[in-house]
Amino acid sequence: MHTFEFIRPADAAEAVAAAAQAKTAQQGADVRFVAGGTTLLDLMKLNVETPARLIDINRLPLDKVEATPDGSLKIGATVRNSDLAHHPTVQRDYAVLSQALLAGASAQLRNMATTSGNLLQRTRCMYFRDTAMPCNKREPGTGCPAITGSNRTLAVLGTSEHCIATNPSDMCVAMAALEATIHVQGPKGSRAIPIGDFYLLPGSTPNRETVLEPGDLVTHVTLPALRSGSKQVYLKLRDRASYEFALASAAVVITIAGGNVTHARIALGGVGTKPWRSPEAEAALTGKPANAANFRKAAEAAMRDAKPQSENKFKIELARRCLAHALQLATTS
Amino acid sequence: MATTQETPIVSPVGRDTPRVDGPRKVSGLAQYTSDFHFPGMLYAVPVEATIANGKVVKLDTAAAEKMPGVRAIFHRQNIGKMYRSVLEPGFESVCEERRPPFEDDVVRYYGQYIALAVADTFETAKAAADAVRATYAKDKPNVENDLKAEDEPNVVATTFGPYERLESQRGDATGAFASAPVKLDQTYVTPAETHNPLELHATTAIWEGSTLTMYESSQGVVNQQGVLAQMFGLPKENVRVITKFVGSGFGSKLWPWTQCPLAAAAARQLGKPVKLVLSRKMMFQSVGHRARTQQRVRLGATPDGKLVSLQHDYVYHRSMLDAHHEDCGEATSFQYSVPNLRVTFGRAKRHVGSACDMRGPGAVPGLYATEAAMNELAAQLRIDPLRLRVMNEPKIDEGLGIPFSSRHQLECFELGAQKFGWSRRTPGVGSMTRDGLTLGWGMAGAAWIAARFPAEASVQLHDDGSARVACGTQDIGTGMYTILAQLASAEAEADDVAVIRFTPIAASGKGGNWLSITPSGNGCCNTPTNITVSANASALTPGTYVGEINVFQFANPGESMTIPVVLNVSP
Repeated sequence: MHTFEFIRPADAAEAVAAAAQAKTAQQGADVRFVAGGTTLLDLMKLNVETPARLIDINRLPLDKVEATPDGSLKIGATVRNSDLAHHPTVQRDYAVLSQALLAGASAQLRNMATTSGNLLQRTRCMYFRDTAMPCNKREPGTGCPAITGSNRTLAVLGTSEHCIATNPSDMCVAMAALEATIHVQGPKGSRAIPIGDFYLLPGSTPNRETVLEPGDLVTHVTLPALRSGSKQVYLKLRDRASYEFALASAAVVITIAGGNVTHARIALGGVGTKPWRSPEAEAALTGKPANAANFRKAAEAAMRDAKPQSENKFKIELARRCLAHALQLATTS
Repeated sequence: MATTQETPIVSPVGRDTPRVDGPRKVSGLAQYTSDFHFPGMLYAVPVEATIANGKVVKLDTAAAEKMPGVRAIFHRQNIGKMYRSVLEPGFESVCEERRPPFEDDVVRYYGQYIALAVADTFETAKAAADAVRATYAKDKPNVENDLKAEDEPNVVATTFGPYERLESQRGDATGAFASAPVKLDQTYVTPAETHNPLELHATTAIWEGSTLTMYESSQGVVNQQGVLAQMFGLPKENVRVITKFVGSGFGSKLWPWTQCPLAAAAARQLGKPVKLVLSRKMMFQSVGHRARTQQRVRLGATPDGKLVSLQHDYVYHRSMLDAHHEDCGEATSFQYSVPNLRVTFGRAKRHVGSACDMRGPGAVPGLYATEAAMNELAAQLRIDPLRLRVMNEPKIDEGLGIPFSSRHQLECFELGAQKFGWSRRTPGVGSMTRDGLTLGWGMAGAAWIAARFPAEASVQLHDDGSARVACGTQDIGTGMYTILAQLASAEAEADDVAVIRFTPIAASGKGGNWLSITPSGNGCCNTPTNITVSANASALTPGTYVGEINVFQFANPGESMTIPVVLNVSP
């Protein structure tokens, strides 16, 4: 680990100012905000992250879950994953989010990990995490050994010839299905970014994962009010029953009237280079009878563009079955 | 429903007895190896090779050496002499990786130590280790999963001595298989598995002249004493290995690994105690694993399920230099009655660290293969797998042609089947469900050797009614302190295994008796007592002197403690 400066700003504006001079907010950032630290400190110990300045945002007033006048739910950046998962409103109205959070990590990690930290969680690709290995995400231009190497857990959707790293988050998959909005305070003011616009595909710049720029501080996330009667399920499939990342997961928010799907929001985890919303699966379902045959068709639509690597072809069928089963669970529960 | 018969147990052996070390463990007072601290102690962090096959052609230590607080970066040129140890008679001085660390510049597995950073703090040592830059001449490593036995003679050298590759043979296994009415020919694979106990491997080395003391996370202190004595050219009595508690080992802490001599060599060069605790990542690389196995099992049987031939031919991987023997055939020759049998093994070198024993070494992966084959044969024959085993139960150990000392497999099967409700099993895939889940019920038999080795212990009976038990051993978490107290109590016909009395004794190393305490010795302290510690430096030349105060609780050895004392005499 490298030595670094540790700053504890008095308010969000001071935090933004302390980060604004950074060269980048992406991989290789010389300034990082730290909240729970469950990803960042690990990566600093591995010398994958080497910030010269850490800005502690834990004492900023960003730790509330509040209902807003327009009916949405506002979740502060430093709300702990465990608190969010057990918040009564989340459990009642956004069950898919609660389920996804509780499917992630361990109780100890959830007690530390925060909303904004989870949004910016880094890939578990072993080449990214080992500085002895080349990695286009960590050191652009050095190559991607995962493509010809160990890639069983890596992505099949949204990959490029430069990077096939999986986004590991469960929370973000649920938030994608819930059409969350991410609120950012930056040097030029505040802005709201739909979660669908927040993440970047790796393309030729896998070191850039989000649209965040130097000084941008995620302050909170809002979830829109859901239409009444929606059913929600998060289903996660993994190598062991707990404390393990998804091989495939599905977040489903679905409304049914008269046996037909009237509205569906679907996102997949463990298979994409970002939290993977699937408009294809949603379109395949909307207006159709809610039955196993249509669930299967939606699952096939979701994985139509999947590109397997040498060790992860199984994920494509696993993700299809995961989504079809999640839809079954949501509509029979 | 079987019930356990309640018999009052009079002897302390077999009686429900609380662990004497329980309070220390649950309160955090129990000192595990990495908990020991010594004045002036330095911290060592190894530099790991990031290739699996090749040579170190350049080691750039300049940046690391310049860091404030760094005491040394050790490598092949400056670590000092270490000898290669050998197996000694009586299964002593066992070591799975014999090559002394840094002996040459060849890298034979990923994670092999190529340098060692030593500094005043762990953080500095880690930063220095990270700052060492290695340049390699790389070769392609052989880490191929598919294992083919290498061409070797029938008798091969292993870590445990010579072994015959034709492990067991009777009748004509090949001929009987060829003519068997029912045949099964399957290959079973078990992956490499790492132990990764909760407690990281840890070692602290302290030299006083030509005497080496090691605080070690060890499942075998006496064995380590032998190996380290050889590696540093010392008589055994000059090496002391201390393990108070072990946070599990699962076999990985049975024999010393390369971090042990590294810490000792660094401490020797620097004249200070050196502590080396592995990282969790290193635990996957340099402290053993269960070897990958690939096992071909061929069974021949009659249509009604009597075995006529059993062939078990297995291959496991080994490291480039060492040869741990993974004895998958240990139970094969006697587990079932079969007139024609052959068990062989082969080995395949890979660029991996040395394998070692792990939880049921050999027999467990071996039984997985042979028992899976029995289940597949049962399915093929449409015979209940339990019945197939009962039909083939041997009357004697057919491998050795002698009666079993104990067997009980049929009783195990009968009781297990009864408790499990085996008669309710239906074999069809998906034919059993519960609470919406599909159930599968399977079974397997197992056998395990009962091995024992000679050991020494001494017992002192004191006139205050207490006893002191001494034995060169360690508690691997299974309750050694309690067991010894129970045994001594039983032998002494005492009733109380937790009398609170203690005896303090001071001991100094080189320099004569400069350390003293008062009061001390037997009978001094039957109640809480203040001890005065004195050091007399008048006869000592400038230097560092190490002694210790041992506070024994004779009836409660887990509560005993050792308090290190370091005396620095300035000119």
